[in-house]
Amino acid sequence: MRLPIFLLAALPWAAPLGAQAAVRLSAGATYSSALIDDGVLSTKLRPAIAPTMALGVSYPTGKGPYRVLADVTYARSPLDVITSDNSGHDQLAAVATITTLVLAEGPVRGALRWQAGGGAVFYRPTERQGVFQDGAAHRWVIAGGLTWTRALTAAMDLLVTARVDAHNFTTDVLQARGYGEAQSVQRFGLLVGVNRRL
Amino acid sequence: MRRLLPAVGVLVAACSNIASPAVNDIYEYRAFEFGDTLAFHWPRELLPVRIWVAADSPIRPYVVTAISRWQDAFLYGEFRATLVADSSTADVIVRNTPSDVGGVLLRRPILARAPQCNGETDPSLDPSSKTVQLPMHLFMYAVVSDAVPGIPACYSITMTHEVGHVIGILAHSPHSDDVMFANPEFDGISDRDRQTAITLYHRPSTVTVTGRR
Ligand SMILES: [Zn+2]
Repeated sequence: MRLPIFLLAALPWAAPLGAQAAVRLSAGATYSSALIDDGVLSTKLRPAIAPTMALGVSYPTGKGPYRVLADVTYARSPLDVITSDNSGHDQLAAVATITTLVLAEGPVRGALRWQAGGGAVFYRPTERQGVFQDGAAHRWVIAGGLTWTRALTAAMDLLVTARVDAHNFTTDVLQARGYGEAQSVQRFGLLVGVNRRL
Repeated sequence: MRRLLPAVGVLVAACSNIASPAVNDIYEYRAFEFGDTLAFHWPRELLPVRIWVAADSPIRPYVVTAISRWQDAFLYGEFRATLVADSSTADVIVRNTPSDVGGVLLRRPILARAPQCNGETDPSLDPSSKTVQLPMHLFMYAVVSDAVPGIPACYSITMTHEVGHVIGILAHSPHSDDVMFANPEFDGISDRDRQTAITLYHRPSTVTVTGRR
């Protein structure tokens, strides 16, 4: 998969000297749709709702209201096995995801701002098992969201982020065993944190 | 509203499921006793299966390899096993000796033979009550000196075969290139072995497990 063009375009944006960067630290939770929905074996593999931490750095792109944001998100949860063929429900070892994004950000209305961009999601299983028996995997991802801020001090804001992203999931073992195409996965995250202007 | 379009675009990203391959290259895995059909697989609530083999046993590495091979046959954790240190808590006891079990329950040793070693699995399966009484017993032993060059390969093939019985394959493959062939030569798990095991775990078990300690 090639790096999306908009992502490359976002990287070299330069801000004027003296513009105000900001650091964001947030925590919350992420819901993911199924990594696999196996129609032949009537089995879904879905990460449980994952505690999530996010760290980001934002920078103005010019004199306008737009900013570019580089963001790393860490989430970790076990994998739920959901079956509809009487073979039982189960929970497998945890998988961590590290999502790195570059996002453009602009105003919607008032304290509400939009985000859109892309990056990569890295799957790091705690055990080599099942679809992760070959270990880690990574996929390109597109993402968007909304943020809401409220000033706490002269340099710090309360920050609420609602984010959705999408990627196509597959692994080496799935491809080796004849699973065609990929599973489209959507994730929804809700994070609360602070935005500290530097 | 125009400013929201990038975010909305993410929301409407195409949704599609992965295309699963057919699972149909299988052999008979069930046992037929007294006109009845016996199909067994470990229920998820008993996973991981606890397997004991002596810490200093020369066959321990082959047990580890066989467990790993069968676990990796599955994508959704249908079979998982772990080694335990205390045989009194084990679901499966593995010994480097000929079979020494016998007693009240019907014993059905399923033998695998290669020139240098033998394997026997006693699934402790009672066809009249349709129960597996834990622990199961698995035996594997050399029939020649341990120094004979073919022993490691024989142990590897035979242990993988016997653990195949432990996971619930109660019959033998008619194909010589499967590890579950009665007199196996293939050192690994073939696609047909894998698809048979997957089928077994996605069809109902007619046998219940009792006696977990
Ligand atoms: Zn056999």
